[in-house]
Amino acid sequence: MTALLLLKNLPAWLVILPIAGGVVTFLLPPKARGPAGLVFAWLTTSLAVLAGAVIAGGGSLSHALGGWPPPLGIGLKLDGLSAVFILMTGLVGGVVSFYARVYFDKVVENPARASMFWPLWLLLWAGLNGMYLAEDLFNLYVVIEVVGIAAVALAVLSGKNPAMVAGLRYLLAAIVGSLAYLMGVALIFGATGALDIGLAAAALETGPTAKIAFALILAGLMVKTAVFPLHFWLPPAHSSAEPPVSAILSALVLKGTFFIILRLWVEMFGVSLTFAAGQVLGALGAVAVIWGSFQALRQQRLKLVIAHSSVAQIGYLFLLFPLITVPLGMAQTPDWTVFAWTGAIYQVLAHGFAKAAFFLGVGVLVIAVGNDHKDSLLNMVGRLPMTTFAIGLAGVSLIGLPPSGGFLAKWMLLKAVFASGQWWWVPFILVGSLLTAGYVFMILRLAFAPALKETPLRPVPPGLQACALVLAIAAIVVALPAEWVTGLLEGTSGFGNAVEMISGGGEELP
Amino acid sequence: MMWIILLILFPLFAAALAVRHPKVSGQLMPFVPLPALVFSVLADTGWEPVVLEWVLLESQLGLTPTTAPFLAFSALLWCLAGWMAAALARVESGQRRFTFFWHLALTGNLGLILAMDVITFYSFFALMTFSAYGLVVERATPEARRAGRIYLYLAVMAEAMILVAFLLAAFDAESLSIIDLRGAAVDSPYRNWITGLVLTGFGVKAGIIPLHFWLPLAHPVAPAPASAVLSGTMIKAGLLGWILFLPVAVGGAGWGTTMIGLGMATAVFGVVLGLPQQSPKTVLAYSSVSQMGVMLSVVGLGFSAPELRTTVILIVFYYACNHGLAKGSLFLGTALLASNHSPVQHRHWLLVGLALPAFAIAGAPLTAGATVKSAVSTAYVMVLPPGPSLALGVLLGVSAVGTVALMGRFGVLVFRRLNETTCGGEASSPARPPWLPWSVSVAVALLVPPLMIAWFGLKPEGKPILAAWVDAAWPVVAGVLLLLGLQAWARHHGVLSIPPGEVVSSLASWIRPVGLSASEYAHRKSNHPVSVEGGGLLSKIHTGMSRSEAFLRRREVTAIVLVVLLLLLWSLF
Amino acid sequence: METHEVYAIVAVGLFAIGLAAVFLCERFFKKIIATKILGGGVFLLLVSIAERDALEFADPVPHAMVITGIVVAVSAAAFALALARRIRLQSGQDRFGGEDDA
Repeated sequence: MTALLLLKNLPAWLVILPIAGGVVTFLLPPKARGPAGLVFAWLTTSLAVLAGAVIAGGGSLSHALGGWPPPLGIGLKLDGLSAVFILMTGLVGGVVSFYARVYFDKVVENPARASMFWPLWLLLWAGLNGMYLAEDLFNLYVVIEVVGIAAVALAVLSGKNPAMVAGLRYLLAAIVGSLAYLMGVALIFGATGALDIGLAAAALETGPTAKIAFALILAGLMVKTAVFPLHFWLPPAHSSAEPPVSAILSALVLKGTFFIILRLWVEMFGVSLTFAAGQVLGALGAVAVIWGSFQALRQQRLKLVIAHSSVAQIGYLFLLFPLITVPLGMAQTPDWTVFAWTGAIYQVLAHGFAKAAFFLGVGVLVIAVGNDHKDSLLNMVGRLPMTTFAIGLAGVSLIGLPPSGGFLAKWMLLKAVFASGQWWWVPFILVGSLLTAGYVFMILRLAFAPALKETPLRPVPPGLQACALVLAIAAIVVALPAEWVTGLLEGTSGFGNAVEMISGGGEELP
Repeated sequence: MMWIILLILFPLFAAALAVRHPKVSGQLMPFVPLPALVFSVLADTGWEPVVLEWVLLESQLGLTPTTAPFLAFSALLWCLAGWMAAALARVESGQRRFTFFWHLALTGNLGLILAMDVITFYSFFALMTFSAYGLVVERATPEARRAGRIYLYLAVMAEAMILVAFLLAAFDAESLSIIDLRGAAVDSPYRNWITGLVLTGFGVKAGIIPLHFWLPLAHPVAPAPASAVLSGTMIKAGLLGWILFLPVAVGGAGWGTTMIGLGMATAVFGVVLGLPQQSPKTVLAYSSVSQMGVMLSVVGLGFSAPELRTTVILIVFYYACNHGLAKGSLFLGTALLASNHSPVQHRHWLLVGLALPAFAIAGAPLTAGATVKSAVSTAYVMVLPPGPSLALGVLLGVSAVGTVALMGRFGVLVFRRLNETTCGGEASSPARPPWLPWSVSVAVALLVPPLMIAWFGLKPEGKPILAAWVDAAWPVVAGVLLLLGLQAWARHHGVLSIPPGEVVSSLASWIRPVGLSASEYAHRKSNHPVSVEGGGLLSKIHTGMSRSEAFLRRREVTAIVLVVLLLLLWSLF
Repeated sequence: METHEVYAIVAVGLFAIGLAAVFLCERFFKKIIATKILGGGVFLLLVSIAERDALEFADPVPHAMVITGIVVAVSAAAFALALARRIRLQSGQDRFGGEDDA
């Protein structure tokens, strides 16, 4: 009976449990926060796994908060797509939590201050799950803000000056982004009187209001997703945070707002979508791929390399939009949209695991050597073989070499690109991979090179190295259950759908 | 047949073992490829591929009449080289990394031969390529790292090209199996693109001119056993790639001509560039380039006459097997050069032992090499009109003469090394040089190729004995004369020296600003941004990029960007 | 012109002013104030939306949204101010350091 109740209310539990964890850990004395936080984190991970298992059978799970159905109440919906995102968040979050438990307990100078990690992280997690579940535009605004504030608070946890300056920049960008989003929501509400995504989309008609609302929503969310050229806040913020925090920010937080964009693009923007709108998003993504990778290549600090690499990897995700925007009357026919969807979702998964592994691995390096300059890597292969191996594996997935999740992502995206005839994305994907290979191999080459003088390493708690390795392996083996993931996704209503563009703005597709 | 997976899991397990127990894993080196060898010889090839539904997009493993011989000689050479490596390892330290990458590269090599679908093939191909990097940089000398760097640049570009080719072909294919993919590529509207990309992508691995320059740098810097497998079997993955994926079809004669031309150019220039080299292993590497050129020209014949595809594959395989085993044995022999306190009579044995496989490569009478060469020239005559076939025959003769001279040059260099008191070639000098594995490898190189014909039922074209003798003997005589002439000329006019990997020296200045080497880096101040004194194109891009990133971060720019984006989206919706 | 239309126009004006100011002002404090103006514009628009033809009375939903929004915005602003103050105390810095503060 209890089990049944848990299953039925699973969407609500996925949000409530981490919030409860946040409150409880906040009230506990600093020493007790770590153990309690880890318990709550792993409970949330198990709920996420449960969500994956429940949805794997097909179908979706809806929940009206407080028993009030929309339009009056707030709906939560767990379907295949959100289950995949929640599962990824849960798995990465579980491992990062363990890393954080060891790291903040054993390594940092001020464990009491660092223990604030736990309430903030659990709150952030609740917000992310909320993003994946919420059916309601205003509710989304609230979780966006929750995630934004919690993320900034985490980013400044170290209390160091560069981190705080970067954090303030991040916070201002986040506020501007979410207020632009809210402005758009206000306009949509004004036009339709509904906040539920489905109801609002049904009532919405094309026109100036809808257009400016979409533009505001999209621009706001793009600031928060750090799409080129609005990525200015990301590299400093992600590179100056503590390692587990960097991992969370890069691997998980960016995906939340991407999910919302994707969701609204498919379910709502259809009323006035043009070919050109999709192309512009794709073009920004394509430029981001090149730009971010090239910037990563010329950085001297490893954390900056990884942060710029995030800009590039997020760019790949935006190639999905031109591919699923199809001419009128074609929404059912094109066969490439499923490839495009699979590619993008796999990019989310692979990047999530690989980037978290990368940041955690560099975290180990920083503990051992004291800084994250490129030259501290020299001869790491002999001295920290496990971490070097983890970074190497994560790099393999980022480049998109087989047999990794990143390979599957790029393979599927390229397949969709060829099948749709939008071949102009090909060079960006490939050159991006080459540049990625450039910085990954630069890192590995340094790790293999002998050091001129060896500084003694400080001891690293063994668990930390293992965490990075586990995530890196996950970035590779996530390619194995490809069929299962695709099956899970295909059970969702939105997955594989194309959006019909209503007016030209571009010529007919071949 | 499910246990075909074991053939791949076995080396993979050995690689994992190397992490904790490098010694044990090192001792396993000769035995790990054995199951694959036995399997390739004993298993029949008629069964359906094993489908692993849960791996990637339905991985398929299997063995076909085309791939079985490749598996056989590759596994054989890996066994021999592994034996040698294990024997050398007893006296060398720091074997963990080497053993680890060795087994990974082995996994990749066996896996790509057994793969029946494109993704599995590509995965193992990449695994092999990138693990080989670990073998190339094993010595950690500046030359090794430079060679490794150049190898990586080219390998990644090649991977990208191959991937695009596969994608273009997969677009119309019914499934991702290799056969379906090749079939789809034949009818594909992108056929020319696919052909070009497959040719170039695998051409990097095979060392086809002008993409060869990484090879004379990377193959020789590795330890001898690694050089042996690099030049003996891994290079042949490029050949296998061509055979499996080139869409051979009627009307592809233009490509056929291109490939024959490229192949012949490689065959001749490989020799020309190799002769002035100063290190025995580099000479061997250039000889590999040249020999791969001959093989490419034969693959090109298949394009000109699709109906002869099977014959062409047989000839190519035979050529590859002969070259692979012989070249492997030669590289293994260079490990013994280091043993500078071995008695004099040992040196003579070493020279004799090196001469035999060298003769096999040069195609001297009685060796398998002679049979192969005659098969190649017969194929030219069969496929091409008289004029071109005659020209090709002459070129083949030139390359054969050159190969003899090149092998002679190798002998001269080895002889010089033996007479020097200290040897720079190999890092360590084993107290008891591993003569046994090497002697076995020589025997294998001489005996196995002829046996393989019998076993796999390959019948090269026969010719009257005397004519065959003459055909095989004249390049040897001419080659020796050429070498003597060149040596005499060098004595009078000074030595002409070409740096190994000629092309790359001009490229290097271009690549440097981004790919800073570790040693350069170590001297750099830690927080210093990448300096731009190079003034090359890339360094200009560098400065530009860093300026523009700062530009994007300026407040007014951010504001304008956001507003422009808003207006753009507004107008586009 | 009806009252709610005037509200809406003022709201858009505030939004634009806030948006420009948040980027163009140099000092942290001014930037944070600018986000408040930005938020004020959004909330004012929401209030003006409460007047809708279909209803006899003011729609309560936008008001609920404004109240929630104000709570969220206040906490964000408080956090930003606390951060700016800490930065000021630690390093005396009161603005982003131009081009190279990354």
